[in-house]
Amino acid sequence: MKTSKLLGLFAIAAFLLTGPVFGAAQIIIVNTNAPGVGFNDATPAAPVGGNPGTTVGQQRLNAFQYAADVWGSILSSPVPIYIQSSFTPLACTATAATLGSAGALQVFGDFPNAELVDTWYHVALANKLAGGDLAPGPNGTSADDIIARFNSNLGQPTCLAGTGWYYGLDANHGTNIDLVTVLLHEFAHGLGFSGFYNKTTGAQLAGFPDVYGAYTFSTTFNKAWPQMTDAQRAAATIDTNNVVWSGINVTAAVPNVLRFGTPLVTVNAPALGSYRVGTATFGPILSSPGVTGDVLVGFDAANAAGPSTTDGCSAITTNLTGKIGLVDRGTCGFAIKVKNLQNAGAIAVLIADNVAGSPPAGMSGVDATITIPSVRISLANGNALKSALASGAVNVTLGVNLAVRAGANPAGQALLNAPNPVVAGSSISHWDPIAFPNLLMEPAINSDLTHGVDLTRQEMIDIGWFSDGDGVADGVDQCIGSSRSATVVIDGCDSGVTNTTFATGCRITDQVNDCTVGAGNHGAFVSCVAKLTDTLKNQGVISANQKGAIQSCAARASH
Amino acid sequence: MTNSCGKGVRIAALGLAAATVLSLTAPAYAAKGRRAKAPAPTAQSGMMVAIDPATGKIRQPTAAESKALVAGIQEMTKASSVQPELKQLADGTMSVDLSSSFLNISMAQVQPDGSIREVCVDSAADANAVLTAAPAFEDK
Repeated sequence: MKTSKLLGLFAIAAFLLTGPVFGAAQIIIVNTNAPGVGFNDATPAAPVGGNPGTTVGQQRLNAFQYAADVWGSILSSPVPIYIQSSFTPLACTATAATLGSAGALQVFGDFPNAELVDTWYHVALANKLAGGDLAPGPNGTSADDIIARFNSNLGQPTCLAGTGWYYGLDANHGTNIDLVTVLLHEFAHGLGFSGFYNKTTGAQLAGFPDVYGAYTFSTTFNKAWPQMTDAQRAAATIDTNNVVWSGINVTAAVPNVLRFGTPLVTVNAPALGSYRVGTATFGPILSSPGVTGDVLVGFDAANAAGPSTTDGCSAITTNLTGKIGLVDRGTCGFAIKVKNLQNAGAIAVLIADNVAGSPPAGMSGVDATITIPSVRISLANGNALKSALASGAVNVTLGVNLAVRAGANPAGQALLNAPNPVVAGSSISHWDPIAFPNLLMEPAINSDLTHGVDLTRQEMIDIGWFSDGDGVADGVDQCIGSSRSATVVIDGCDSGVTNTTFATGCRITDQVNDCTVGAGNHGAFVSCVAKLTDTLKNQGVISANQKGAIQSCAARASH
Repeated sequence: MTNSCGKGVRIAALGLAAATVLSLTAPAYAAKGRRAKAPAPTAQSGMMVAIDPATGKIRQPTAAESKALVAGIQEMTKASSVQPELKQLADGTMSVDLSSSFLNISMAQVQPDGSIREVCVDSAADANAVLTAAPAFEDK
């Protein structure tokens, strides 16, 4: 089985490298605007960036259809996907604006061919898996699959004045907002990049988990979302750096997408793990392997400069020579603290936050005489270090960890956004914004995105957009795309043997196909199938007669 | 426009070997704007600042502006306050009509340096958090 597992992994690797060749889905933009407005705005416009529309409305519609076609070319479904779309005035001010919104209109569970039981699926995905429209009805109603409403006033004096939509299709948006990028992001939420639970209470929609949550995994609780209590789910939602996507397709793609290099504080002894940091605009830039040393709290006088003896706001009385100094945030500027610790001999500085929350923000300040690196860590992490110091020496490394990819945990799993408290962007239903290169589904829709769908494509694979109907959820299926044949058929020869599906998601035909790929000639292929069927017989999967039937078909194969 | 992450991570290229390795990583943070000059400290940390489109000067957004925007988003997501109804078919299929219960909402916000930050939220509360969030960099 080890061999077949390896072959299965090879198949996954090959699958991930093949690009979007899985077929297509038809995504239809349902224009719900009234005549003369929104998509029907007849205001003349010059074609721009590959968008041939000559009116504002037509350009908007072209951009919508372009974004829909990007997803349509990647996903696979026999059922058309309807996006109920409009361009209307949405809330905005001169300095901030609502760009638009989107989301699934319905969720379904326990429908025919659902791979996860008692689990919500976004309606478009549910339709795909069921092979039919689970919510039939007229367009413009909840019978559509996704609703998308975007702001028609953007760029007007009272609505983000001076910054409008870019309707071009080439991502050359300059200082304007690229509509296609925002659409790709929001459509992805509606297609499957979102969970359906209450972030505050942890309660799941109507008490059932969803397919996104099935692969949302807490490394702290060592559980996926559906396995948690509501309280655990709520706690995990704000557990920065400890929530990952567990689906095998995303994880396999991480090395191809995310680059190495994450700024961290690694606690070497005692082994407390790695901490996220806020970096400084002053002092030397973080390096690799960074600075390693024992941690010591830097004490100073409680005085007018700072009321605490650990705020680092006045001259440090502790000898920090060769040590990494630890002080608390508060009262005085970050640069002042770091300079005081540097003067006491510190080789680096950790500043522990004085309020709960994570990840820590950056530290600004100016002091050209600072020559040691410094970072900010969370209050919880600072307290953990202090507790450890009470029991003995604490040794840490402060720097850029080149063994950890930006946006992944040390195990190589993609991180999900889990800020504490919610600061910007919705928790969990986005990648962690530390990811590099920037990803489509980070909470910030970054201006350097170029209409690619990066890891989000693999997320769509994990949740089932390319299901082979073998009953094994695709996020753990090592053989997505297995033959749907009920019996083992080799080069047109039907052996009559049941095409068993294993827990890995691989079937007997996948293992036979592995022999096809690995064999250099017919003899090698027949030999490989003979070994395979011997193994299957020994495992009790097939009988002696069935073994003979498969080997007979293999012998007659043309390859 | 710039991204909103602005974590200011800076990576040293110390020595040739390190520089060679870091050539794969340093541009990452540069591209994310993390080498960019940090936003100018604000007089009141934790409050959003913005460019007044009329005067071109940095100013705080008015409370009325923030309130109006959040109210608008609250209106968009008002169905979220209604308990979704679970429907079950004879064949066991179950469904919930979400209406606007689980919408994701893109926002844009002028930053202190005049750039635009685009953020995706999923509730009026999140939108309010964005508008009142502490800056990515703080001076103390």
